[in-house]
Amino acid sequence: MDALVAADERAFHEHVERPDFAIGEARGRWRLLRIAWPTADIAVTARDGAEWGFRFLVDGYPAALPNARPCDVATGAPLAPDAWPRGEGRFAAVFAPGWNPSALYLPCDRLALPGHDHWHTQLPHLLWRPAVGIVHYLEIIHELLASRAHHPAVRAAA
Amino acid sequence: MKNIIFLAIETEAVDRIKLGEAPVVADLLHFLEKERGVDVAELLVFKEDCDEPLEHHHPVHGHDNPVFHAHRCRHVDVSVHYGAKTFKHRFAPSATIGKITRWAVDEAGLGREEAEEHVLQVHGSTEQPPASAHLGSLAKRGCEVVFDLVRKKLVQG
Repeated sequence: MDALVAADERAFHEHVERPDFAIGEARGRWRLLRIAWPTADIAVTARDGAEWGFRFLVDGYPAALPNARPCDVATGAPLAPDAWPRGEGRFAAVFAPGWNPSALYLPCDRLALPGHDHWHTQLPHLLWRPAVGIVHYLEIIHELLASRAHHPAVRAAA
Repeated sequence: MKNIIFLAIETEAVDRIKLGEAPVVADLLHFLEKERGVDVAELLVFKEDCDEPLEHHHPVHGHDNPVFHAHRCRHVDVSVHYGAKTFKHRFAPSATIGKITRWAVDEAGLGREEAEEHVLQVHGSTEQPPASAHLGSLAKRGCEVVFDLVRKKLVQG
């Protein structure tokens, strides 16, 4: 990489080249779409095989929390709230455009964590982990999209 | 032609390793000893989610899922607490948390939907390793790991 590339961008590139990210790609769990710093678009595969795009804002990586929002896989454009993946229970709590159409309601998201100090004690496993990096956020999203709490049919019918 | 495999050694993060043509386990161990300074004397190499260690002549190339785990433990004793019950079983260090979770929810008698709402948490911690993690990566003190089977929590304000 260019020697003038900032530390956060360099760190992100290093993380998406690590074995844990590569294994997830090889297993078809996620796929890097594009990087246009400070954003990165990554597709995550749902249990029906459909890919859902997510635009991550990753300036300050990995020390700063990222932000993620669903996006169009082809273009990276934000998805309208009615085009977000649907589900129930744990899934619906996280994919909640009615709360904020620019973020997922997760402790590892920079737009969701403020004002939720109790998450530090109640949901420590969902807090951002700089050493694990973007794979941690992807694991959380993939687990939800792969669960039965996600309703793939809603998208197909849309 | 170089062959690329993924290998986790005990509690270390998974690594990408380039080996020569048609490598076998002995070649991998030789590489680890010479290039990485790893003490391989008692190191056993397992293919991910396979129960038995690979013989030294076993190929490490040509696998659809070239993910391996090297560990000094041949087995890891797993205990899972679920309410007042405790389930025990012995797994290879290369067993994924996904595989162990499937066993645990079956032991607990959970139906399919209930099973999906539960996760293994390392006993005495808040760590919930991902389904892709290897059991051996959690065996930090000897050849045993203790989990609690807990319900996944709803994110709420």
